[in-house]
Amino acid sequence: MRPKEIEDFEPTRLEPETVYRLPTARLVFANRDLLQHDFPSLQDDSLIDEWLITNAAFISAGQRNQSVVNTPIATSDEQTMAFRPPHYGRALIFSLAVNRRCGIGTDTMTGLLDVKGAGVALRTIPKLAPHANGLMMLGEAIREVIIEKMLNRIFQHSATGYRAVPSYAVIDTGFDIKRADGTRIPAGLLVRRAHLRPSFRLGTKESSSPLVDLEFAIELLLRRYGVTSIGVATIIEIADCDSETTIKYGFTPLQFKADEVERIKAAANFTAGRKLLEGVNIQFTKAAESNPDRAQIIDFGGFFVKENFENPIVSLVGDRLLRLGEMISTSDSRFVQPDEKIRLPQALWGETGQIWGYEASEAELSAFVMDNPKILAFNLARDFREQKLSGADVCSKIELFLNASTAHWI
Amino acid sequence: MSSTPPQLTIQLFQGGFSQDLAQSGGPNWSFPVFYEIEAGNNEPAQIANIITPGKTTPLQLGSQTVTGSGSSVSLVVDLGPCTGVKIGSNPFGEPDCDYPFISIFSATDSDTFQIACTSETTNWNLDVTLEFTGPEMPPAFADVSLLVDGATYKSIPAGQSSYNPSGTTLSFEFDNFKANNGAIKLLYTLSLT
Repeated sequence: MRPKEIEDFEPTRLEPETVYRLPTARLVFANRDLLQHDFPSLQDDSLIDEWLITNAAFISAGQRNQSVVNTPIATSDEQTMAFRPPHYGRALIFSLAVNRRCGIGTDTMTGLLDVKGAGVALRTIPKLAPHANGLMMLGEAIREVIIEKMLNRIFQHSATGYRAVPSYAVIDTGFDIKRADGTRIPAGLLVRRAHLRPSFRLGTKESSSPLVDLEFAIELLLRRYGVTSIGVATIIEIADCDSETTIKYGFTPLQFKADEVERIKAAANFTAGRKLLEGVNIQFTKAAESNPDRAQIIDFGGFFVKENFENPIVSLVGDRLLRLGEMISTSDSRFVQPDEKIRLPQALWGETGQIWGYEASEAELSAFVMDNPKILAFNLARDFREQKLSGADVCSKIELFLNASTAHWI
Repeated sequence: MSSTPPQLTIQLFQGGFSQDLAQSGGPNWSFPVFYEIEAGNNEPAQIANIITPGKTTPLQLGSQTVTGSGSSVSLVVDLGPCTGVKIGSNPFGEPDCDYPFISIFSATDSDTFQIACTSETTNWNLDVTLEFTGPEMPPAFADVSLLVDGATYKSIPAGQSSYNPSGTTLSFEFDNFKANNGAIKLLYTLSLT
């Protein structure tokens, strides 16, 4: 069940915040069918765009108060109250009922919108670092929609009950994100269907959780299509270097005591040289715990398409040293490679550096990941910002991309 | 009718922390704050701000009166090149001690956050939730303890736990803190028995 009122969240854990209207925001595109399904009163297509901007185009006070990580944010006096659940670094929940009480909107609808990229909490310092600026690049939002739609096509094609939590819309905020190298990239908002997340005592699931088997099942299913949830952030590297063993999680070198290093090496079956372990990064909604066959997953920024898979897969669990849970080695019978009949084409999904005449910009090349969906998404974002493309153009290019990706499926 | 005590948060991250000093009160604030840096520093912290919804106040070294508006008050510190700070505040004008909140954060030593102070021995109810960041960040680490009158009372495990300490001061101590680009969040509610 998706939450429909703020009270459906654990009330004491929601932090209310004042948020401010972004008068420069423009809707890029909306999933009208989904919106009309979830908000049945929204039957008039012509009202949807304005309704979305009215109810979702806001920025947090913590973000508005600075211009270190973004260009100055123009806001109007219009305010409402939004809610930040635990571990929501840059997303906020908007309640239509609360918006109305704050003078926002005139309809009588109820329900919730989850808006990603709406800024940091008041007491958080936005920084020029990954996961720390409170914002979402507009291209990143468009890429997430591409991945979400691709995942749902895969889940339907494989006749499984899994689903990606769908998004309602993408909004261009009108201001830019600043990067550490001085470049600027358009900032966006991703408006998603509201959902509840599991609460983990240790920040992530424990080794005894049924979600371990579930995440392996989904990761291995996706790998048949060439898709993986594993990006650079959850790759663990163990390496011998000058008679010492170094351990990195993502790009971060970690320090451990000598006996802990030995335990990690044993858990990873590390003997010598350099070994990479790929940590599964599938994030579930709360309902996955009680209904695993119809599990829904969220947050798709870390999904990629690979030509093949070369390293052991590991479940990341909170109750083990270095989060090293169950591992599937490359010799394990469960370890799979992409199926030629259904794998997503590398020409569309790989890192060939260009797609449909689009190339990576200098700013984007500084990022760690430069797959073709990202090149496409960031160019669509820039073209929309510069009014070279309409929202309908962006939508239609995404559909073309998805259709080309699955044209070979029987 | 008794009201539910507010839940306050202390979050430690790479090179700094944020701490709620109040989550209900106001709407106007005016209270004393002192701000010191560890000996040997040539510069204050890169950021040391008191934040209310209506105002952000950069702290000056020494004693001052901070004003603001809105229902909440938070303290945010990012050390930058500074190696440590000590900041005391009294947002509710507690008569029993000058500074019931005293936050000591150091890049090289343990970190201590005094959250309550009374002139006579007091019995408290304290509910704590200790959280760690999710899998997209490397695991952060700290040994967290509850101190009563400056002495270790209990170790605080990850997740939820409850305590009934008795004394004149309560503090949380974070030892061996390693952010690893992640964060540790401690949420608590404090009430009298």
